[in-house]
Amino acid sequence: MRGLGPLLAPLLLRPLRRDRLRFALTVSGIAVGVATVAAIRLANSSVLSSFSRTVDLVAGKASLTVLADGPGIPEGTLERLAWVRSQGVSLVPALSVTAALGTPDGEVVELLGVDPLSDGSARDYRFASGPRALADAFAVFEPGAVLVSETFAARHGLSRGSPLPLLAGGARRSLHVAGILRAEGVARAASGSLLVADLATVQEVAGRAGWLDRIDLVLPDGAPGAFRDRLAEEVRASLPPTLTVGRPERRNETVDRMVRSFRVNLTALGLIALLVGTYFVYNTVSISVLRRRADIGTVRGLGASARAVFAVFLLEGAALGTLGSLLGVALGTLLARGALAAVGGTATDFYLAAPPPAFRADAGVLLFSFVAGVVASTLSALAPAAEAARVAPAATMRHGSVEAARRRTTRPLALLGLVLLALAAAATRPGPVAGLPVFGFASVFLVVAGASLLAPLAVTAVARRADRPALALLGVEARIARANLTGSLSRTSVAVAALAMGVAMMVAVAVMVGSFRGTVEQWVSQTLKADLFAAPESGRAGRSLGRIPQDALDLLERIPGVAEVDAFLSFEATRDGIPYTVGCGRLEAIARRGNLPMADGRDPRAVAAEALARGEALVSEPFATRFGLGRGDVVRLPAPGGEVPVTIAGVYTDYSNDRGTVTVDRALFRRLFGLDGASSAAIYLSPGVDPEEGRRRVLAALHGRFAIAVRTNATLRAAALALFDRTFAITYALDAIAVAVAVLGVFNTLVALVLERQREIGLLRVLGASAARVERAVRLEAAAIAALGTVLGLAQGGAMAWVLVHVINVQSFGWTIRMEVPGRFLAFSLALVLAATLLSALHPARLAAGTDPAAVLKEE
Amino acid sequence: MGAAVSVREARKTYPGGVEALAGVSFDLSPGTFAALLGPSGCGKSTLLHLLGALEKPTSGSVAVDGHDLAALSEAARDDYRLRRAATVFQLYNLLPTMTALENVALPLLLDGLPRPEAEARAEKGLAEVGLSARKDAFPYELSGGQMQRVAVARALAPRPALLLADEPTGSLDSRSGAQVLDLVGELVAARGVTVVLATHDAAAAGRASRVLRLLDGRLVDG
Amino acid sequence: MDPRRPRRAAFLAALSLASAGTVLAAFAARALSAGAPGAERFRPLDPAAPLSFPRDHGSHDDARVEWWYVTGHLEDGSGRRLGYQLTFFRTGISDEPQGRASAWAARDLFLAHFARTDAAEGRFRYAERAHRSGVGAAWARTTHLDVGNEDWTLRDVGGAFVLFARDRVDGEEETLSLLLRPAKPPVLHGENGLSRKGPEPDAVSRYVSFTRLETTGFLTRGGEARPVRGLSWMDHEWGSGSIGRETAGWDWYSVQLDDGRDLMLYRMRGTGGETTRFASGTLVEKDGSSRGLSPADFSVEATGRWTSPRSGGVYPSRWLLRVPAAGLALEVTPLLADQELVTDRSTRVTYWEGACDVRLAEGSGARAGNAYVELTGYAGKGALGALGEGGP
Repeated sequence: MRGLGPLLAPLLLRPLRRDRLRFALTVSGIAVGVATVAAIRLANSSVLSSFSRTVDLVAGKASLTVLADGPGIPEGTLERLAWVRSQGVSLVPALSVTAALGTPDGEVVELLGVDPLSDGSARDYRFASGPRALADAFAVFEPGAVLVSETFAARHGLSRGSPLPLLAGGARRSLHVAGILRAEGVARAASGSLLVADLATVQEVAGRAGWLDRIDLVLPDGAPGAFRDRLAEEVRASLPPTLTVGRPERRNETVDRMVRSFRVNLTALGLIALLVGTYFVYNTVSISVLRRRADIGTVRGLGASARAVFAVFLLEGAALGTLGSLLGVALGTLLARGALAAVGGTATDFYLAAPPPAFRADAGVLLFSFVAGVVASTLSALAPAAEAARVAPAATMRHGSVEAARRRTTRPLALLGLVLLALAAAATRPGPVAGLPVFGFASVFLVVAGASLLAPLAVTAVARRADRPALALLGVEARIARANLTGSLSRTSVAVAALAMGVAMMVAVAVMVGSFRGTVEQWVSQTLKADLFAAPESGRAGRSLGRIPQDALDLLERIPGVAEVDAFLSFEATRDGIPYTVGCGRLEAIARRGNLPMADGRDPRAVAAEALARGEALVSEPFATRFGLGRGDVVRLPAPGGEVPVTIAGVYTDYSNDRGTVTVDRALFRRLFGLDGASSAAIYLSPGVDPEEGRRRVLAALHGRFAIAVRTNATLRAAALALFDRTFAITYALDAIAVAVAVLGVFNTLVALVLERQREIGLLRVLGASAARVERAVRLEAAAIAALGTVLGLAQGGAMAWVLVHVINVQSFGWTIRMEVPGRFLAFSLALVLAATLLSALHPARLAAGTDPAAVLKEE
Repeated sequence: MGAAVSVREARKTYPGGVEALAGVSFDLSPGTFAALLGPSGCGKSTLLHLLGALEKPTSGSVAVDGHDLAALSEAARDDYRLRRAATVFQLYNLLPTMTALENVALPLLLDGLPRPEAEARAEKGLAEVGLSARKDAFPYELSGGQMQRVAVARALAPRPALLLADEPTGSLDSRSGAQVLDLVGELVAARGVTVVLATHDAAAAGRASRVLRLLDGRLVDG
Repeated sequence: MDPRRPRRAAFLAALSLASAGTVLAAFAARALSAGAPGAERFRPLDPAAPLSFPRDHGSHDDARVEWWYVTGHLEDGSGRRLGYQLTFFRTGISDEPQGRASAWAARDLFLAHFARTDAAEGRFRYAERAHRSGVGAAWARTTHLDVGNEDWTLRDVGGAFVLFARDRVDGEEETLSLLLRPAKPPVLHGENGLSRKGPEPDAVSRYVSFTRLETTGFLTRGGEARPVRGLSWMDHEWGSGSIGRETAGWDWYSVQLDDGRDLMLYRMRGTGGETTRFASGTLVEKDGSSRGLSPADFSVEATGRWTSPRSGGVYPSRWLLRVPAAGLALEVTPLLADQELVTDRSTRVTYWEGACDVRLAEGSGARAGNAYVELTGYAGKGALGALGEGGP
C-alpha cells in the first residue's frame, strides 16, 4: 500500500521497542492459545495417522477387503468365496488381535495372523535374517512362532529363537521369535509394534479358533476398476449381510468416527483458549492506537492516507499474531510430544486398544493452527485499526472523548448481547448434525459472545452503583479505581469479559465433570455389586484385551467360596460404519439382583425377567440415543449367518461405553454368535467369605494356567473413578490454561493502563496522593475487574455447563447426567483465580507507584 | 494565611548536563502574587516543580514557611502538596475519568474528609468559579476556559497557602484567559494565598505584585 | 528316496527347498532323526508291508513327503499337439498328530504345478498353488486317490482317473478335463515298489507308476471346448527318508513308444556334473511286464543346449538314448526349447520339465513315440543347497 512504508517506523517499530513487555505478553498470549489448539490436534492426528498407516500397511496390495459387522468372519467364508479364485483373484485371510507383552512393561502390540502361503500376494515382507520369503519360513508354521520387526527386536533385545511371552486370551502364552523382518512394508504398521504369526498361532493364542477378521482380495495385475466393482458386487451377493466388502480404507472411517467426538470436544475447548488469547491482540492494538493518537494525527497531517493508517494497525495485529502463532506452533509441537502419552492414552483407553502411537508433525494441523492464530489476531485488530483510520489529520482529540464515544455504545452492545444469549438458548433445541452437537457448540460460543457484549454495561452499571459505598468503605482510592474502570471502559470491560470467559470455562467444565463424576459414581455403586471382578491381564493397555477362556470360567465356578459367576461377553460391531458393542450377561441374575438401572426408572428386575422370557434385548442409553431406537423397537444383530432381529425390552443407563451396547442373555448370545468365554466376569462370594481371601483363592486356582486379573469391588470402583479422572485430566489442563491466559490478560491490561495513565498518575501525585495510595488504587481496580469477571464468569459458566451437560453430552455421548455443582472445588478454584488476578496486579500497581510525577508532567 | 517562600541559590542540573536553574534566589512574603516571566525553556517549570516539592534542587535550598522542602520526608512532601501547595497547569489539569465535581472533591477526599462534606465544599468551590451548573460534566464536555476554572476550584479547594500556576492561560483565547486570571486574582486576594504564576504573557504579569524575570536559568532582575 | 528315481528325488529336494534355509534344516533334521517328535507321525517304511490298491493310490499320512505326478501328450481333432503336466505335492510339516485348536494348524502343505505345452502356438504356460491342510483349499484322501488343490483335482473313479485343472491366461480361462484309463497295470519299481536310495536305513521310498494311461477329454479356452485324446503317465511316490547329499541334480526321461513299450531312464549328476553311480531305468513291455535297467544297460548323450533367459541356467536340450539290449536307439527332441518352471510361489525350485518328440536315431529316423524329460539343478546352486542341508 502506498504510504505504508514511512509509517512503520513512527507508528509501529519504535513504540514496539518501548513497550517490549506488553508486546511480549501479547505474543505469548496468542502463543498459548495456538499451542493448545495445535497440541490437541497434533496428538489426535498422531493417534489417527498411526492407526490409518497401520490400516494401509496391513491392507497392502488388496483392492477389496471383506470385513465383519459382527464378531468376526467365520473361516468357512473362505470356502464360500473360493469361486473368486477362478477369476485370478487371491483370497488372503488374516486375523489380528491386540495383546500385551508378558514382559514387565506390558507393551501393547498388534498380533497379525496370516496365511504365509498366500500372504505374500497381499503384503510385503522382507526378512532381515533367516528365510528369504514368508512362504519359505517353515518355522512360521510352528506353534507359537512369531516374526517381529527389526525395530521391535532391537527395542526388546530379541533375536531368532528368543522367547516372547504374550498376554492374550486370558492366558500367558509362550511365543518365540522365528524370524526378524526388516522395517519395511507391513512390518512398519502399528509403529513397528506388530508381530506377524501364522493364522493358527493367532487363533489359538487369542482363543479365536474358527474366526478371521478380514479377507483381502488381491486382483490380478492390471485388472480394471470395472472388474473390481463387479467383483465387489458379486462377492457382496454371495455373503450374508453381516459381512461387508469394500475398499480397505473404510476401516479408517470407523476409527475416525470412534475418536471424532473426542477430538471435536477437545478442539472446541482449545478454540476457547485461542479466543482468550486473541483478546490480547485486541487490547494491545487498541492501546497502541490510543497512545499514538497524536502521532497518527501528525502523520495524517503530513499526508498519510486513512487506509495506510488502517493498514499499519492491522499489520500490527497480524504481526503479533504471526509471531505468537509461530511460537505457539513450536510450543504446541513440544506439548503434543509430551502429552501424546496422556492424550493418546485417553483415546486408546476408550476407543482403540492399540500400540502407543508415534508422534507425527502433521503439516496440515500445524498450518491450521498457525492460520487460525494469525487470522484471529488480524480480525481482532480490525476494530482498533478502523478507529485509528478515523483519526482526523492533526487532531489532538482528548483521551476522554474517545472513551466517551465508546461508552455510548455500551447499551447497544448489551442489547446485542441479550439477542445472542437468546439465540444461545434457541440453539439448545435442535438435534445433532451428523452425530455431532454442532448447535450445542454454537450455543456455547453464543453464550461466550453474548456475555462478553454484556461486560461493558456490567462494568458501568456496577461502577455507578458501587461508587459511594466503596468510597465510604475503602476510601478515595476506590473512587480513583472506579473512575479508571469506567474511564478506560474499552479495555477494562474486555479484561472483564476475558476473565469471565476463562472463569466460565472453568466453571462449566468443573460442573460438567463434577456432575458426570457424581452420576458415574452413583451408577458404579448401583451396578458393581459383585465381590470380585475378573478380566484378562492386559499389560499396559487401558482396557482389558481378549477374553477369559470358557474353561477358566468353569474353573471359577468350582472354587470353594465362589457362590456365582456372572460372565459378560461382548464384541465390537459396526452398523453402517458406526461402531457399537454387542454383549451378553445373565439376565436371570439381573432379574434377581436388579443391578442394571434402567434409564426410564422402571424396575430392572421386571424388565430383565421380561427380556429373558421373550428372548429380547436390553440396550444402553448411548445406543438408544445414537441409533434413535427405544423400547419396543427391533434391533438387527449381526450374527455370522445373517442378521437376527431382536426386540428391545428396555434401555439401561451405562457410562462405561459411549458407543452404545446391545445386551442379550448369555444363552441367546451363544446361540446367535457361537462365542463363549467372557470379556469380564463378576464373581459373587458365599456369605462370610472375605473378598481379599476370595481373591487369593481365585488367583491360586487360576495360577499357572491363566493370566487373569482379579480385583475386589473396592479396588475396581477406585480404578473406575481413577480412569474417569485420568480421562478428564486434559480438560482440567485446558481449563487451567484458559484461566491463566485470562489472568495474564488482566495483568497486560493493567500494565497498559498504568502506562497510558502516567499523566493522570502524575496529577494525582501533584494533588497530594501518595505513591502508596496510587498503588492501592490500581490494586482496587484489579480487584474490581477480578470480582466482576468472576461473577460474570459464574453466570456464564453456569449456562455453559447446562449446555454441556444437557445438550453437548447427550448429543455426542447419549448419557443422562444429573447436574451437580462441585461447590468446594469451585470455591477453591475461584479463590485461586481471584488471588491470581490480585497477584497479577502487584507489578502494575508498583509501576504506577513508581511513576515520577515531575518527569511525566514535563512531557507536554 | 499565605506561605512565605525563600529560595536560596537554587540550582537544578538534569542528567546529561542540562542546567535548568543556575542559582536562583528570592523571597516572597505571605500573600504575594508573583509573576514568573520568561521565554519557553528558561526554567520556569523547573522552578515551579521545586516549589511544589515534585523535584529537589541540585544545590541551594527552597524553603516554604521556613521548612526546607528538600529535607522533608516523602510522606511530608505528599502532605505538603495535599494541604499547602496547589498547582494549576496549562493543559490536562483534570482527571478525564471524573466529573468536574469529583475532580474538585478529590483532594478533599484524599485529605480524609467524608464524602458529603467534601462534595459540599467542592460544590461551593465550583460555585465560586461559576460552574455549579456543570458539576456533573466530564472534562471533555467542558471548554478550555471551563476546564481551567475547574482546575482553579480544585486547586483552591484544600485551602492551600501557595498556588503554583504554570501558564494556566497559555492555551486559552485571551478572553477566557483573562477570566481565569481575574478569578484567580479575586480568590487568592480573599484568602491571602501566595501565588507564583509562571507565564510568558506580560499582560498576565500586570496583575502581579511582584515580577520575577527568568532567563537561561537566572533571575535577571527584581 | 530311491536314488534310482531321480525325478522323485528332484521333488523331494524341491520340497525341502520350499522350506529352505537353516530354519528348515533344523526342522528337517529333527523330523528325520529317530526319537524326535516326528517319530510320532512320520515312520520309516515297512519293507514287508504289502501294497494294496486302490487304497495305496491314496495318501499315506505317515510319510513325510508324497506326490502324484501326471504328464501326457494330447492331440485335438485337427492334429494339434499338447503336452501337459499336473503335479500334486504333499509335505508333512507338523509331526504332532493331534492337539491344536485351530483348523489352520498346519499338518501338511499342499503344493501343485500345472503346465501346458502348445507346440503349434509355441506357447508354454504354467501355474502353481500352495495351501495348507485343514482349511479345505487342498487335500489328499487316505482311502483312495483323491487329491486336489483349489480347483485342480485328480480322482480315482473306480479303476480310471479323472483329472481337472483350470488356469487363467491373459484373462481367459483355460481348463483341462480328462479321463485317464490304465492300459497296463501299475508298475511297482524296485522290489515290491520299495526302493532304497542310499546307505542310510531310512533312505527308502515307495514308487508306483501307471506308464500308459489312455486319455480322452476336453481342453477349453475361453468359451470354446476342443475334444482331445492321447496318452498320459502317472507316478505316485511317498516316503519319510532322506536323499543322497552328493547330488547336484538329475536328468529324467519317460518315453512312451508307438510300439507299445514304455521306458523310464534317469541319471543323477554329481557336483562336478558327472553321472554318479545312481543311474537306472525300467522298461515296460507292451503286455505290462517290466524289468529294471542298470547303468550298464543304457546310455544317454546330450546333443544340444539351451540357455534360460530368466534363470540363466544352461540346460541340455536334445538327447540320444540307447538301450542296446532292447534294440533301442532314440533321438529325443523338445517340442519347445523353453519349458522351464520358476516356482517362486510354491516349491521355489527352478527346473525344466517338457514334452518331447521321440524318433529313431538310426535308419529311417521315423517317429517312434513321445517323451517327457525333467532336468533339475541347472539353474544355480539353490536346488542342491537345500538338498545338502536337508540330509541327515
